[in-house]
Amino acid sequence: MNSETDQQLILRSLQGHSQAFGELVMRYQDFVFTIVLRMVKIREEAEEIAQDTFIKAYERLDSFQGKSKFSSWLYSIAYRTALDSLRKQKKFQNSIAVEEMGAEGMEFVENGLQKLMAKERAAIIQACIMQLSETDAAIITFYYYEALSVKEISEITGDSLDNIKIKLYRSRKKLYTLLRPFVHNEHLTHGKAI
Amino acid sequence: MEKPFKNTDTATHSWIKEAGLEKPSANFSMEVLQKIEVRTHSQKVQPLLSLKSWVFIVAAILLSSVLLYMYPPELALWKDFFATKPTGWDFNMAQFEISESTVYAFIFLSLFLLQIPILKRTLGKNYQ
Repeated sequence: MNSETDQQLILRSLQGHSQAFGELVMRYQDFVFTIVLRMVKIREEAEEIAQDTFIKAYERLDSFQGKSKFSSWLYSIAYRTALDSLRKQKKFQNSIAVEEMGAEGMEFVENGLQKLMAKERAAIIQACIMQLSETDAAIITFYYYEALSVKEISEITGDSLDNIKIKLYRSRKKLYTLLRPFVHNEHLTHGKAI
Repeated sequence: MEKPFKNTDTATHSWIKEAGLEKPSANFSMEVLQKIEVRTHSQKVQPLLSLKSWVFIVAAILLSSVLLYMYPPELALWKDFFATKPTGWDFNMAQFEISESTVYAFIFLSLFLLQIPILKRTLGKNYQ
């Protein structure tokens, strides 16, 4: 694993060392691909958009001033490229109706998920994230996986801080709503088996 | 009211972490670098006429226009020039007429020439 910082790799890339940029690609490809895939939902398209993201980043590398983290700058390009692609194809996902779930309902989902095997649980959660709308899926991943602050997400997406907070709250609820049937079925199956 | 919200937040955090990241194809980074390489090379295309040639052409046109303006064809300078015309040469500027078809031909030719940069830009955008 290369121990150079992003800034060092950027400088070397600007000097024409394509391998240095290759290292940056390796470093961020999984997260960029995940964000794009969760937005566009189709693997082949996501791969193409993620590649476009890195090409755009390379072409604009001299305009990166280092005011924000390189990762945030890159995620911003990925987010906007994916949105542009969806706009061109007019393929926006309809928003899922959010069921008003009380504390008990949430606890039921949490407990239910804990009973599942780790691999199965991960697959179910992945499937449910994919059912979220493009922006919700991206925002929830930025916040909970990459631990970006609301301010950083706001800079990436161009939405206001309040808007991000509302979207986070709603997407968390949507995720619970989507997870509930899986957990419910699991309870029934376990019930029958026992 | 605070507790369930905090619990939900913690649980969501652990689930999203547990869901992990998706992986692109194995040769993803290689493909990115190859595409960058292709783009870098394709940007090095040389124009047919260099900037110097264009400057020369424009200067020649401007110079001719200025000369024609300062020394109109009626002046003795040009008369002497045309006086050395080869035998059989019967060109008279005053009698020079252009047919309508030639005018249309020139208009269409200029429209065609005008399309070239527009088409080039459009194709460049689509096939970048």
